[in-house]
Amino acid sequence: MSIVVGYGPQERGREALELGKALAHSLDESMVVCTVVLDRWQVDGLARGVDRQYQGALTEMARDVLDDAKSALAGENELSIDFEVVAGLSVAQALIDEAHEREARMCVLGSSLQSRWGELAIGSVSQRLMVSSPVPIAVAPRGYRVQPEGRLERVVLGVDPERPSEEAALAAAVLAADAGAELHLISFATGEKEGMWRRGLGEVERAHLYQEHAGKLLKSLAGTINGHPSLPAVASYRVLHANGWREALDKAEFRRHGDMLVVASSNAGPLEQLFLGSSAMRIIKHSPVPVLVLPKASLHGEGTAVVDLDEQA
Amino acid sequence: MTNTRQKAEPTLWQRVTRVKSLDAGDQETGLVRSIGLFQLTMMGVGCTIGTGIFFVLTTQVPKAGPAIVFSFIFAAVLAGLTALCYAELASAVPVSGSSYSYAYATLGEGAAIVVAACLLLEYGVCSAAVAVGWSEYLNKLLENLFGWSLPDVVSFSPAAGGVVNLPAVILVMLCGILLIRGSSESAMVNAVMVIIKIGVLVMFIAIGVTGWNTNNLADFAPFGAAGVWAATGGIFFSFIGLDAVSTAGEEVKDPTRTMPKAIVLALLIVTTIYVAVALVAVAAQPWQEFAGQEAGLAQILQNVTGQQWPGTVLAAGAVISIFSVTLVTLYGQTRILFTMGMDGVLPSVFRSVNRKTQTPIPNTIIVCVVVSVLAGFVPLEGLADLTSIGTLFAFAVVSVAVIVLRHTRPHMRRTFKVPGYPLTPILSVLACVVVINGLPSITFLFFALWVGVALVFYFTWGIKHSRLQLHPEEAANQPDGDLV
Repeated sequence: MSIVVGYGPQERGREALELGKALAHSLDESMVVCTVVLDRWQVDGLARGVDRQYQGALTEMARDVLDDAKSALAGENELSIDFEVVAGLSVAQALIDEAHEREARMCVLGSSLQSRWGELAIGSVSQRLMVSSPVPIAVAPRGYRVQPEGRLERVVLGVDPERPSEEAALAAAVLAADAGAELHLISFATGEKEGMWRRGLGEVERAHLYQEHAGKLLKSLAGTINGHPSLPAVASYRVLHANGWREALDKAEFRRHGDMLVVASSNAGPLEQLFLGSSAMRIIKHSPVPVLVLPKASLHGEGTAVVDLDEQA
Repeated sequence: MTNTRQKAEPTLWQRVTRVKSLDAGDQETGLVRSIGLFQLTMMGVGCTIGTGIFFVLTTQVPKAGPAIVFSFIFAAVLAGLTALCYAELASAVPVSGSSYSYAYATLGEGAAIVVAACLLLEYGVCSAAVAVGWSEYLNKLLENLFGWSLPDVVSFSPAAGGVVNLPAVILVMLCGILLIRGSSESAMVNAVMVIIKIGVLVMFIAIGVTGWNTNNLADFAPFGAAGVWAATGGIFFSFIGLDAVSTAGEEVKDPTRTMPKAIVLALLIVTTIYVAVALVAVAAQPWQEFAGQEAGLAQILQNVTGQQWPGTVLAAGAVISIFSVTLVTLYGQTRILFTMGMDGVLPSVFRSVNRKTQTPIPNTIIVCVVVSVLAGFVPLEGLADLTSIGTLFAFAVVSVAVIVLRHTRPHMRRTFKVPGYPLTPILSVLACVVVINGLPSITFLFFALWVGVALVFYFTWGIKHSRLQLHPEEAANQPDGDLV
C-alpha cells in the first residue's frame, strides 16, 4: 500500500507533496510521486515514429519536473519515496491506473485543483476522478505547508444529513485509527438545503427541524462507530448552522495544521451534480484545510475500510 | 573528417557532418517485440491506402492515358524499394523518429537539413494537398445532398479559376484547433477510417466495373512509355505512408523476415486495389475526360449509374477519411519541427510546449497558418507533385545513406538488413531519379528553390545555434563502430 501523489508540471505542485508527506508520516506508508505525460496518439499511422520521439521529449521534461519534487523532499529520510513519470490518456486516468497498480491507499492532488484565490477549484477532469476513482482522493489547499514532523491530528468527517453514508463514516474512522488522530463528526446546515427540505414552515422552524434531524443522525453514526472496538471513539459531533458554505466552514474553526476534512462524494447522478452541485464539491471549494474525498467506487471495492473492519473484528 | 580537435573551432565540413548521438535512454525503452506479420501488414495497408487515390487520377491520367495502370505498378515497386532501404536505416538507429533524425544520426547535420526540407514537403505540403482534395469532395457532397455547393470563387485557388480555396483553409484551421487542444486520433478511429477508405474504394470498383467499356481502352498508351514515366511521380503520391512500416522495426518479431514480407504484402494489397480502381476508372470514362474533373471518383460513379447515391456515399467516405489524414499529417509536421527546435536548428519557438495541454502551441499555429495559405492559394496538382518530389528525394537520400553507411560503419548494429544489397538501394536511387525526372520542371524548380532556402537558413542561422555547436560533446562522430 502506498500514497500516490500527483505532481503537476503547471504551477507549483508543492501543496500535494506537503500533504502527501504528512499523510505518509501519519499513516506510516510509502509515497509515489508521479508526473503525468499525456500520451494520446496511440495510432499506427504516418506520424508514428515522430510521435514516439515527441513522447520521449515530453517524458524528459516530466523528469525535470520531478527533479523539483525530489529536491523539495530531499530531507525526508524516514519515508520511502518513489518518483515516476506515468503516461496516460488523461491526468485522471493515469493517476487512477497508477493507484491501481500500486494498490495505493489514496491519491493526493494539489495544484491541479488550485484556483487563484486560495480556494480549491475543481476542473472537469478532477470531477470525474472524484466519482470514478477506486481510491480516496486527498486535495490540498493552495499554499499548504506542514511543519517539520507535521502529522494528521484531527479527522473531521463532514456528514450530509440527506445522504448519510455509514461506509464513509467507517472509512474516516479507520483513517483516524491508523493515523492516531482524533475523530470528529460535523454536519452543515446551510440555508439552501433547508429551503428544499420542508416547505410550508417558517424559516426558523425549518432550521430548527433540520438541525434536529441532522443532530440525531450524527448521534446515530457516532454510536455505530463507538460500537466498533478497534475504532477510536468519536471525540465530538455537532451541527453547524450558517448562511452559505463559506460561513459554515469558517465557523467550523479548522486548524490549518493537522486537520483534515473527509467527505463522501455525492451519490447524485451526473445531471443532478451538474445543475445542483453536490455538497462535497461545495465543501471542497471553501475548505481551508485538506479534504479527503471518498468516491463511491472506493467505498465498495476490495480493500476498503468495511472489509478491513470485518477482518479486524 | 573524424579527427576532431576538441579545443579548436571546428571546420565547416566538420560542422556540417557532425552526427547526433542518440542515447537510447532518451526515450521510452522497453518496446517489446510484439508485432507479427499480419499486424505489420495491416499497418502498412492502413498507412498507405488512402487519400491520394481520390484525386491523383484527375491530374495524372491526362499524362499517360489508360496506361496509367503501369504507372501504379512502377510507383508500387519504387515504394517497396525505398521502404526496404528505409527499414535498414531505421533499424540501425535505436530510437524512434523521422528520416530527419535518422539522417542526423548517420549522415550528419547538413544532410539532415536537406532531408528536413523534404519532410516539410512530405508532411506540410501534403497536408495542404489533401485539404484541397478534401474540398473537392466536400463540394460534391454538398451538391448531392443539398443541391448547393460553394461558389467557384471561394472553392478554387487562383490558378484554378477562383480566388481562394476556403474549405481547404477552414479544414486546416479546424485541424489546428484540434491539435492545440490536444485532441488526437484513437486507434479505433484510425481503424474505422481505414475501413471507410477501403470500403468506398471497393464500392467504386464493384459499381464502376458495370460501366466497363472496352472502347475506352483502345488507345491504351497515347503517350507511350514517356507518358507512363511522367505520371509515375504524381501517382507515387498515393503510396506515401508505407515508410511507417519501416520505422516499426524495434517492435517487430523477427524483423529480418517479417519486415520485407510485410512491406511486399502490404504493397500487393494496396496496389491491387489501386490498379483495380484505375482500370475501372479508365474503362468507364474516356481518358480525355479526366482532365479538370473534380471529385473524380464520385463523378465517374454517377456517370456510370446515372444516379447520385453512389457518388454521395463515396464523397461522404472521402470527406470523413481525408479529414483524418489531414489531422495526422499536420500533427506529424508539428512534431518534426519540434524535434528540429530541440536540436537547435530551428528557433526555440518551435519547441515551446504548453504545460497544460502538453502540445507545442506556437509551433502548431505557425504550421497551420503556412499550410492554410498553401492550401488556399496553390492548385492541387502543384501541391501533390511537390509532395512527391520531396518524398522521393528524401528516399533517395536514405537509399544513398544505406550504401554510405555500409562502407563507413560496417559494424553498426542493424536488426534489419536490406535484401539484395547492393542492388536494392542502387535501384532505389536510380528509380527515384528517373521518376523525379518525369515530374514537371516547375516542380523541380520550386523544390530546388525550397531546398536552397533551407540550406541558406541553415548556414546563416542553424549551424550556429545547433545543439551540437553549443554542446559538441553530444556529437557522436567516431572513426568506426557503433553509435552510442
